[in-house]
Amino acid sequence: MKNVSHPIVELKGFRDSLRLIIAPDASIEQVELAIKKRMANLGYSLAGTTMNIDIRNETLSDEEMNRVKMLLHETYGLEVERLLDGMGRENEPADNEIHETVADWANEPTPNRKIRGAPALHREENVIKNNFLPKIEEVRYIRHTLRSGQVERFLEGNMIVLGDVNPGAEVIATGDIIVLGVLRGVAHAGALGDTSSVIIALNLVPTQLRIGQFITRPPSGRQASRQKVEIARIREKAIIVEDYSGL
Amino acid sequence: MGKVIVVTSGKGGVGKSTSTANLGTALALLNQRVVVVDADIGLRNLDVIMGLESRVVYTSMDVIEGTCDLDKALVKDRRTKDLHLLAASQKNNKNDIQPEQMKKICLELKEEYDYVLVDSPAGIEQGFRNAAAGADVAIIVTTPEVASVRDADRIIGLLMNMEIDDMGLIINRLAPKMVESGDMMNPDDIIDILSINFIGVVPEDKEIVISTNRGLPTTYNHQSSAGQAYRRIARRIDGEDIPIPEFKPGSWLGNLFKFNSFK
Repeated sequence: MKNVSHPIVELKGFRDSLRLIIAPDASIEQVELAIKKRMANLGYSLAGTTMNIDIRNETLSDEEMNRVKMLLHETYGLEVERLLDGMGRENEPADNEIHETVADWANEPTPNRKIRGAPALHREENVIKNNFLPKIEEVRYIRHTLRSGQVERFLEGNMIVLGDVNPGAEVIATGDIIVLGVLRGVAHAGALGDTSSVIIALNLVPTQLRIGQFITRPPSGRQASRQKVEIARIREKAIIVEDYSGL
Repeated sequence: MGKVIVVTSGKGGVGKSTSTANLGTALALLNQRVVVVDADIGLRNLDVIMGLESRVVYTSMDVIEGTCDLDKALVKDRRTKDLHLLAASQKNNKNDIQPEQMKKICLELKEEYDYVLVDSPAGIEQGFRNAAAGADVAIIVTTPEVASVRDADRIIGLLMNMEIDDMGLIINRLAPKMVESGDMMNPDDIIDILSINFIGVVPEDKEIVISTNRGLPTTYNHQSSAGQAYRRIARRIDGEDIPIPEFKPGSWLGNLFKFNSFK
């Protein structure tokens, strides 16, 4: 990586936690401002999420780091768990994470999976996939009904629930959410601000829908059983729900 | 070897103790050997509802502490053959008992009895965990109210995590007239959400209040619609395949000719 200008803070999802990457030369004022700016666009479902802070930054003193932690905890309700060293293995840049996935699959016999360390080819693969899908992301499958009090977070991509999401249950994903059942609870797609995310359910009767920073609730008196597939997405700065007939 | 059944709901006041007392009595009337266990440590309800309050000497706490044998702690209900009660201690609280201790009592009881019905306290904390510790089966009681169904759903999730997968749902205090007019949740919607085995509806019945105060379970009263419902549910628990009537307004019995089979 060359001297491309880094964003001051970068927010990434990893499994069900968040990772904040702070640029090496940023001052505390810059960092605080950048965090506020970044968080302003986010939904409200992230409270309670674990966040790891990756400090490549050496300009911030311990005291200033604590200020950042306080800001994240008290204003946004994030549970700051550990501060990762920028040099640490766990927080390589995104490129390497993709490689890790390939590496995990390396023992499968598919020839494509053995191209570890061949980024050019890998990228080609992405390009091909891009023709079919708007984005390349991971998917988390939930193969059961989510009951009241259960929360499923996946901050690295899309979520598919093979079951219902009951009232009092919550599903949160950074990408799309697809419920192959009845969505009665709360769903938050695009939880890191991706407003192109959609929510699809076989039966869409949610308590509340959130996409990015947008929130909506169904009009009162919405029939309990819709008997048709519907999709919720952002159209002109509002969530709209319509019959599903392809993206 | 008998079965341990925990009767639970999450929300309070939906009729757990009433259901435990009535189902226990109804099962005993079917010539089963039954013991009902009050797991609501610190509060005592079940003995009062069953009219056995004045005869309680020892409690489950005494058994755990070794003050007395399990057999000796059981209160025999004289009205029905083979119906017994293990009362809860009022001097202690829910954290004085560990799930393991409760489980041990249940295991010992099911050696001797066909049905061990455990009356769970409200809530999802240790009291509930104690009550469910030794259970083979769970009966979830809910009323047709949104909050009650929500809590039942939560409890079902917790029971699944505890690997108690055999569950039955009772919808209590259903008022058919209110369902008809759209003021009360429809049983079908409740079953849809909770999606567990449905074992019966108990209609709203003033007799329950009277019988609870008298300490005589409604099951004994052949005129009471709730009592009849409990007797039917007991037969279903005991393995009989009898249909669940669809309750219609205007008939205290429900319209027995319109059957609705859920199984």
